[in-house]
Amino acid sequence: MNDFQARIGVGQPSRAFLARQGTSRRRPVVVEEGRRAGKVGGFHTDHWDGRVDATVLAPAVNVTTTTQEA
Amino acid sequence: MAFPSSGLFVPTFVDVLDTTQLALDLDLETHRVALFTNSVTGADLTTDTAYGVGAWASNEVANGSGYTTGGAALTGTTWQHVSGGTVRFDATDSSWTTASFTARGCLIYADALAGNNAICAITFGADYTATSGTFSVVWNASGIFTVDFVP
Repeated sequence: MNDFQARIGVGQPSRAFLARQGTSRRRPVVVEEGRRAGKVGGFHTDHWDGRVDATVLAPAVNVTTTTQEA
Repeated sequence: MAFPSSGLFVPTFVDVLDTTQLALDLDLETHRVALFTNSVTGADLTTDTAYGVGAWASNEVANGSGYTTGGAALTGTTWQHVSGGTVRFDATDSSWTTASFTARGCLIYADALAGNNAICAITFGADYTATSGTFSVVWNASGIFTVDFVP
């Protein structure tokens, strides 16, 4: 990517619609590894004023037990 | 170098149940949740013992920009028998305001214990970055962790 492309935001999410005050957009974050890979694990929220919120939807750890026959 | 898979810290729960009788009270409001980057190196939940020790002594999110090293207090904690043989550890969702940082996972540890014993690690599965915004961790509807004691 050259300097011009970087400056105009090539490869970055479009922010054109965020020019209106008070608007925001939610971008899903896809899990990259493990059994949940490929699923949405949370999201980023882009606000019109440049703020970005990050929201993690944390997975639970489930410990289970089993019985072993003799 | 990567944040490990989610799980409970084996040495801590061994110490709770053996002659060490580690006084881990999951209902306490003094546990903390610390955020780490994906640069955590060599973490192993089967041998790691505590916050600030080994792999958990570095690569925490840097102090400042909305984050204080040591993490945030984990409030609203509950350790309850919910149904059948299942017991659930849960808490109020955690958040950091005016945050400008990236995190890959978190470590929950017992700040009230002298050893800062590690309780569990949760991977986020991807990097999350807040910019002058709010970084939130919404705990699962099933809780932070559950144990089913009755197969």
